[in-house]
Amino acid sequence: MKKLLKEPLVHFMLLGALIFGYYYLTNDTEAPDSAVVIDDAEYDYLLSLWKNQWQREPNEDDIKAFLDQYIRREVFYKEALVMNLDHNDIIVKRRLAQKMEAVANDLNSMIKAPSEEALKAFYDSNQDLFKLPPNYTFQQVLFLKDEQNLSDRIESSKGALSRGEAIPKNRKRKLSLPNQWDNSSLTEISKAFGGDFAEALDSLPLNQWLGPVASGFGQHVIFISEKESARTAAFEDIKPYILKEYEFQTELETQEEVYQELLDKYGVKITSEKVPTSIKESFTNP
Amino acid sequence: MKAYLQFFLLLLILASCNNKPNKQETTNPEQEEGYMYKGTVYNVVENELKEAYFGEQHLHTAASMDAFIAGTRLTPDDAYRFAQGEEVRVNGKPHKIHRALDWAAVTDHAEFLGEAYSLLNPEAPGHNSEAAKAMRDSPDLKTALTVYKKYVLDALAGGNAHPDFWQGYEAVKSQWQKNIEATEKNYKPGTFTTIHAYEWSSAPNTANLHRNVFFRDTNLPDMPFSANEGPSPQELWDWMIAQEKNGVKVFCNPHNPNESKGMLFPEVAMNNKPIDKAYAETRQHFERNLEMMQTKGNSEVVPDFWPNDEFADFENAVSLQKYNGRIFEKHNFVRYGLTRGVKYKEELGVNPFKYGFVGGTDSHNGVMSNVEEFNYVGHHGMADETALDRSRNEQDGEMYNRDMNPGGLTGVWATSNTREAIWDGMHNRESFATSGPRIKVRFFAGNGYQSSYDSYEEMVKDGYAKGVPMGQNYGGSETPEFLVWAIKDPIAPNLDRIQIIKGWVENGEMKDTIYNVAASENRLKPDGTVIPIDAPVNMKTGEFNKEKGAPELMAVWKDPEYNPDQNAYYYVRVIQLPTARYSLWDEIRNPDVHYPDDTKRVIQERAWASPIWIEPAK
Repeated sequence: MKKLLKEPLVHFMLLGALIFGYYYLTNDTEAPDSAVVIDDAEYDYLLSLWKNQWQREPNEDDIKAFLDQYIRREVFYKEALVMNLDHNDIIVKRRLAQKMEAVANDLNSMIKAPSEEALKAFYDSNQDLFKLPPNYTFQQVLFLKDEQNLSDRIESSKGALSRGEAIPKNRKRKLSLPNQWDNSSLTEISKAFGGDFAEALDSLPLNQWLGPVASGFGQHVIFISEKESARTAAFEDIKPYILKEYEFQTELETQEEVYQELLDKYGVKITSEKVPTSIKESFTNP
Repeated sequence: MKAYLQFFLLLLILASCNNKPNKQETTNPEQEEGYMYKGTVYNVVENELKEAYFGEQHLHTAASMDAFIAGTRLTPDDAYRFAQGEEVRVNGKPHKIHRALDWAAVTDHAEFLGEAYSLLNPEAPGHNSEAAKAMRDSPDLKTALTVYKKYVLDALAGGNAHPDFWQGYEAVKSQWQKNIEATEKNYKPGTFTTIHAYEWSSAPNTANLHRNVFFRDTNLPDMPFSANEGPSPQELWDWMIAQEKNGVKVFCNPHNPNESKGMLFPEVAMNNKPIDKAYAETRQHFERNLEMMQTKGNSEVVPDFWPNDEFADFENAVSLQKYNGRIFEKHNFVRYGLTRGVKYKEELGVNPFKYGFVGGTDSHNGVMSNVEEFNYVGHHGMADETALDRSRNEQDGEMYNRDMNPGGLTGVWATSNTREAIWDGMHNRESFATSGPRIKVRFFAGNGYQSSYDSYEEMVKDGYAKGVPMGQNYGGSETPEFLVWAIKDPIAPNLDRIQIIKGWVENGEMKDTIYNVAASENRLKPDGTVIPIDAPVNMKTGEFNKEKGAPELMAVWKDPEYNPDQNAYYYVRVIQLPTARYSLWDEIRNPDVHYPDDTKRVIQERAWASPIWIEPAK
């Protein structure tokens, strides 16, 4: 039973029943379904909107005017519904689908905050999400693409650097980029050299001059002396972040679950021959 | 790769934890070696050559009521987290910037901060008022705009500064305090700097006179001064003078001269008195930078008045002229303002428009410096959230969405990534604007520079030792040598050229001209013209040309027309090779979306370095 109570669909149905029930109980008017009803509640609402805008009491003309405006819209709205103008209207569809998704999200917040154990279990099973970026200590020497005999220069430079020769003066801070990077995070390296260069460091061996490795600036010869590999952050250190991730993930899951339940409820028949078979099957046999 | 996506976030989070290796609690103040902030010592890198730190200086969150009504729910704290590379939800969809920023400032509108407090906080008085509910529950843009008109615009037109659920100044103070807390919470000296700031949003007769106001430290006013308290810039300065008497360090940056209807660079002040020396001194004292570009247009120049500037036709937001009578006139653009300032210097002895440059987004989505064309998801809530909305809708009462752009970026040359250093860099105008890319540009004026240097370090040291950097006066007696240097953004194409723009006054007449001073691949001819470069964007894939142009450009240049007796300024424009505009990315990704034919698909992004002035002694 406890498990059942946690099922989003159960919440969903309960909520639906509540809403339906509320309307059933409150809509006990005698007027035929087609009439535009202005009861006390509706009138008070319209009146307060008007007063809010104009900051005074309305006279009879004003009342006539705002009622006229309201009734006009309602009549058109009702007739539009009768004529099914809301059907297959992309804007109406999008809006209603959004509303349903919002209902699913609200459901998620009704499910109570996770216990310490649940959070720990989430952390344990999603270690990938909580990895620290690797840090690198490295040197780089830059060569520009329009340099003559570029590959020869790069090779001879690697040789010289491997023999312990210093970085030549004209390659110190070339294009302003520091040669030495100490304990630098992937974030910092990406900012300075671009993401591709930063990602490329991961697969390279330590303690040797190698390359070239490309960046948006040119070709780099590099020497990585230290790599602090991706490791998982300690639970206590990042608890608020884990909680946030947990809520985000469960929200998406709830939304997905509600979607799957509804998908089962309505079913999908793809009769068009033009849709590739594999895609068809992914919807009909998920 | 996917696992690494989370790396950036985690690093940031850990940066705020006490066990990060480069930060330690200390009980012994004598042993402090690094940068001390609120009892903690940080190992902050000090760079004597200065480094360019990129950041956002103009951004709105849900605490700006117009942003809230348009659907933004991201708080100042969310915005700062986004700035550091963390993923947030923008219009319901996960979004992030690909490269974290070095620093940022949230600049919510002072005018409706109190209302925002009631809207955002369930426990606050006024939260459940009808207007507040209507603002929270607007399901679509049309309703939101109706609500905005009804509760805000009509209230203002009726002479009420506030809609009826405004709870008074205590509410304003409460929200200001919330913004202060978020700014403090996210400050990580050495890694990420936050600056206390807000926007003063005066728009008399729809002339945009808005200014963003920046504070150097935590000596802050109880409450910001808004246009409700004083709509004239002189009233704002009076308030700033009072703040300075309390030891508050503060300056401001105006933005959108293109929407200023002649009132940002005026002949008379708002009290109808001619600009005089006292006005000029006060203005120069408090107003340090102009926002060159933001989502509502690039304000440098327009082809209408600078037909000989081949790069003037760039993100001009021309359709803003269709609204509010904000037609283009020459006196609404930055280059005019700078030259008029120099003329005022001649007339009054002081230049009231002595501005450096910054760039910003003015995003109302809380997305700091979301400036990359391929990553643009709009800046105004429901108004421009989809490609379709951007291609065909208007930004209500302002311009067409397709004339907006993702906005600009600010680079500040500073010795370290700390609040004081970044604020000082902007205050000294050692700042530059870009149209988005992280191009870095240096600019010095001095004597005895070499035409080339063996190393970057020697060049920069010489730059400072023998001259002044951008934002200052050149004071030498000889003809100045201008040392200019730029490097590309590593993820963007190479550079096309560097230009120096000069403005001066000659026999009382305002003049300006453009010099090409460096171009890639030896394209700069002896007569000063540049052979055009053919580096097309692939219109099917959006890819830019990776072969042409130069990653770095440098020149030392002398003005052939230099006259030491003339009041003048010189600023730098760096032009990048062409790239795809967001409109092209939208069309590539959404085959059903077609922007009107007059929309640009390809642009040449750029950077602008703050001017150096020549102010001859009388």
